[in-house]
Amino acid sequence: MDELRLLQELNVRKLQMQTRRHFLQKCSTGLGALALGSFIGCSDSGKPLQGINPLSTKLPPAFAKAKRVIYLHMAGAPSQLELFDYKPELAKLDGQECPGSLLEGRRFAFIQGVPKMLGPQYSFKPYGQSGTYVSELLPHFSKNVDDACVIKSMFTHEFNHAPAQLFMHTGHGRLGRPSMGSWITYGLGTENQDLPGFIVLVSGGKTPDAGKSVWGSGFLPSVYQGVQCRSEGEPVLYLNDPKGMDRNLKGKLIEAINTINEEALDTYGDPETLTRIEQYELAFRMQVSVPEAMDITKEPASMHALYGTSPGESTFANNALLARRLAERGVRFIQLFHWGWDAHGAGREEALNMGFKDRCKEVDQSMSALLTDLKQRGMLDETLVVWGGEFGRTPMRENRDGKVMTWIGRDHHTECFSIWAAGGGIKGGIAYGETDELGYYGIKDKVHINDLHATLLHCMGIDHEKLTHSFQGRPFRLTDTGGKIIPGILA
Amino acid sequence: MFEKLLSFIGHAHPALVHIPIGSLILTFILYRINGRGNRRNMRHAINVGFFISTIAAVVAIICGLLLARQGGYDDGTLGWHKYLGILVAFLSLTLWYTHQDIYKRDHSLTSSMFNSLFNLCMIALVVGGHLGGTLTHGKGYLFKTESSQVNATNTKPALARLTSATDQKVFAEIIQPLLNDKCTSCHNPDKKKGDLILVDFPGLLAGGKHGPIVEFGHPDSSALYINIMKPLDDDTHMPPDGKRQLNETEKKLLAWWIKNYKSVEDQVNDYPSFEGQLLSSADDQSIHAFEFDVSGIDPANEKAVGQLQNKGFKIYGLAQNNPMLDVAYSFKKDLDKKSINLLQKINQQIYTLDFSNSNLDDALFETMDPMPHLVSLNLNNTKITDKSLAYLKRFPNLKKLNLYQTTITDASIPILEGLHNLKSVYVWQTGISASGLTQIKTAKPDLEIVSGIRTDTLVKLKLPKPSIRTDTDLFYDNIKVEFASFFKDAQLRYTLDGSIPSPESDLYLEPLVIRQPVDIKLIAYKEGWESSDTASRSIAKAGFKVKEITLEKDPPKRYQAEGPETLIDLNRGTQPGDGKWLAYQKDDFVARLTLEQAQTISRIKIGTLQSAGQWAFYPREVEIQTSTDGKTFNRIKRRNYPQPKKDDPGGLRIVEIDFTPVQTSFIKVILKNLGKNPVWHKEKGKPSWVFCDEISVE
Repeated sequence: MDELRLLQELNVRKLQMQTRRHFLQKCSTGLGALALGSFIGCSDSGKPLQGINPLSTKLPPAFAKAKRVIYLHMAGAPSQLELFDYKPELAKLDGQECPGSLLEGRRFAFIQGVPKMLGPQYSFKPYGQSGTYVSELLPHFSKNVDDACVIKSMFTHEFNHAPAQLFMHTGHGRLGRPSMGSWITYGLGTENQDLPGFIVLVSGGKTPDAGKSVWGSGFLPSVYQGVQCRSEGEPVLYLNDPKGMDRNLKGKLIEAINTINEEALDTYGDPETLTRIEQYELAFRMQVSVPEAMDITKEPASMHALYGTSPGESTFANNALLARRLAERGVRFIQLFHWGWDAHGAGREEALNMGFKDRCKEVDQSMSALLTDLKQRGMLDETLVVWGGEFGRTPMRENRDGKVMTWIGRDHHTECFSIWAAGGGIKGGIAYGETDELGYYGIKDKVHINDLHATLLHCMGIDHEKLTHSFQGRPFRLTDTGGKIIPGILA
Repeated sequence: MFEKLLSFIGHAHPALVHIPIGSLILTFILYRINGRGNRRNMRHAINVGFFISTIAAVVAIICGLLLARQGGYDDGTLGWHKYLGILVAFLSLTLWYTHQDIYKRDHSLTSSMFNSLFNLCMIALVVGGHLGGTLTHGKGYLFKTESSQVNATNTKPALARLTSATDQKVFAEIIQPLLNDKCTSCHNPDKKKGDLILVDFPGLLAGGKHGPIVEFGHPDSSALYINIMKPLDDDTHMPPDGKRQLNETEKKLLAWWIKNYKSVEDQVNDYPSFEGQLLSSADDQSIHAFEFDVSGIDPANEKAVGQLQNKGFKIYGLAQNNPMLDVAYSFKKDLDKKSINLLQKINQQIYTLDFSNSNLDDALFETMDPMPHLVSLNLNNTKITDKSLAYLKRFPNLKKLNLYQTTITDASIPILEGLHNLKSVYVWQTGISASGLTQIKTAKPDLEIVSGIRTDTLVKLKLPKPSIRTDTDLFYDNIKVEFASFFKDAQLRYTLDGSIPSPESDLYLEPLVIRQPVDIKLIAYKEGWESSDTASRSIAKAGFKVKEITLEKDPPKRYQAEGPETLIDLNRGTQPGDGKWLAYQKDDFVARLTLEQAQTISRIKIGTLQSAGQWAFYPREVEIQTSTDGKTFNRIKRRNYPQPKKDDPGGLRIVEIDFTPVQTSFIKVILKNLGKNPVWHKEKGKPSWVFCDEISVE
């Protein structure tokens, strides 16, 4: 009897506590759910929200030549004048003072006063049937030039590393925009539901200057952000079951948490709750799939030899081999970061005549192995591989504080830099664009970063003008208000 | 505001003007039916007709005058339209006023005069109405037929010609037809909206009331292009919302022309190719064109797709609005005949089929049905043999065939040669020989044969150094030692006597239990790899058990580790800051040990380290004292060490102090701090550190 009375009392109290504020609160969640409905686009499908996996595969609007992307970023910006952009004229001017016309009204990161011109530090030769010029520092890659398209006329607007890296990866030089990989997984979902659609591998675990925002999801739901995997130790931190907890128990735990999360989703309709649910489930599936995918001990010795791996460490070579394993398993966007390319000449490690050579050695064999390996497995024609930094280097020798420096280096340069692309949808064995005879300005077929992004999306079957997301009152896209497809490099 | 209201009223003219027209025509018909009859109802209806017509005509005229104020019309046409409209209204009023009279015989106005006036009114109505139409739709619109309009203005044929022929005149044959199609209905000599006439080149050059509309070379500064590119809801967007808009291709054409213009006589081949501009066109289907016509192919049977997905197949569409499918059964081993049979239900739609790394074999492959549209087939790392290749004829459209890591041999070459559409074949790691490759290349020079790398020519890599793991570094009775390699299948061979292991040395199978001090050397071997560098480790026996250990002074907090007991936990540290070291800056290290029972001791080992960068140096002097009662200690040994040198790499070291055997249980160990960083040090003279991690008494 007492219990019944208590219950009644509770109900009365509950009703008394219900205030106008509660009512208004419910109003807002109701509206939020409506907004979510239009965001997810479930209103016309009539499916309940819980059933929608934001990473499920979506059809590309058009036939896609490339199914996935492997993007190799050389953080610090490698010198195009030592690798791909051969300038014999510049060699003749080596050591002479830079003409004033090149300096007028310009700002450099470190160069002051009148610097001296600096000729190419390494010899170049034409390679392959295409006769693409490649520096002696890339002996392995020079064998793969007939598969790659070297773009020599890239340019950017940012001359510091962090903004330039953001620009390269998000199409905008400031924080807050989604990265390429996020846009692509947002547009196409992922093929392998047991692995993240966007995986990031970093040499030596060293995050680029711009931080993890270069693989962030910006204003897109965070389910589309890149997942950083480690090639040394546990591939994904905190993925293993804690001691004393078995997989079944973990499964039940996640089920319970997600039941609660689904209730929260019903009530508040926040897409981030959906992300949370999906991430718990993905993490659970990843416990099995990731160790298998990331285990390079399964690779035969010949593959290790081809890539030049260092088992047990987190080198670029190991990551390149992993990239191929992940590509085989249907990961949509795989991004590798290497570091240490900032060859100013301010120290031994960042000198063109010292550390730069080591950097080339660290990536040359493995990046060309990646192309060879993808090709012999019949995957290169459906995998788009891109290699490049965030900007270029000056044709002048850096003179920090106006002095002659011990080591040889070049300053940051925005007007032109070289990248290469190969595979899915890209015409191999060509050099696109030209720079002037000093390698200072692009003079023919200049390629803006937006143009590169537009072309990349095109290869993935996406129209860059149609892949948009509404945020703060206007639609955004990877190429924002710019971007033209570069027909000259399409296969 | 008022101006806007007036202009709004003005815009009502084209709509309102139809009321008097309709009403007058109806009245005219009623009048003719009535004839000279005198039906009261009819007369009344006709009267009302004139009334409505007159009022409506007056309203329409007022609106029309307001509209005319806004200008942009040919004055002549407008004038005639205006006066005829006013005439119609006046006649309508007159007819209304006199209508009742014609039925009275005695009235001076005869019915024939009324007839004439009414006829005149109708003629004015038709002519005025036509002029109104001319103002809106342009001269001669009445006799333009649908077909002649298409021929004259459609830009499609011009575009089609553009890509092939190159001697056309850009303006006359491409741009003017485009303007005719989308612009001249308002910007013509009659209507000349905004004082702009686009029917010919001089008109275009002259511009409108806001000045010139093209700046050649700069589409983005040309009003013609800017207004077209503005958002549709912008008031100044052209053509206005509701009129036919330019498509993306036409916009790009216009920009291309403005950018490259040199003269009105320019030909297409004077300009850079237009095809490049077309590529970025959002709505142009040609760049996304699929390789064959799929219009006759129905979407796949959803039920069969669902069943296959339940069986583990991954099935995705190739693109939106395209029925073709990308079907994969990869990295799975449960493929059965039932699944293969299910594929039959979607065999029209399969475009790519991937069985890589699956359990597909000849028996399963034999049951596959023909797939007329299959373009790419991946059989990599499956059990199929030469036998299966005969079935490839069932896929007449096959272009890409992936056979790597299969056991096919040169026997398959004739079959491969017989696949007429095949463009690329992948035969890395198969039984196809070098001569076989040459044979296919000769027979089918256009076929891309990817045979991959030769693995035997690659330089072997060195295996990573294996590791030797123990719980502690010193032991009392016994110790378990484990070896590990990055590769679980690597062979680990070891020796315990300090000699370098060979491939014949003992193979590590399970953890070793060590009871005597050993010097372990370990090498990893694995097929295809260079053997690893030698891993080595000395494991020493610990001395007497220590009951208690105390420090004269607490070390600074950073270097307290687990307290004084850290010194006798049998675990060595590896670097400062790993929590296994006790250290003092400037001060000496003094520890007092009490053994479990009195022993004869003759040697003490002390673990220490040197790391110049961290100001840590070996002690300059080590002193051992003993005591019989634990209170008064006597020095039994003292050893001095030379000043550290600049090129001494330092690192971990065990300092061994031997002395004449003595029976005791109380020992004091003093490590004298160097005191100051040596003179060669970067920061010479700064207070240095002394480190200790382990003390063992033997």
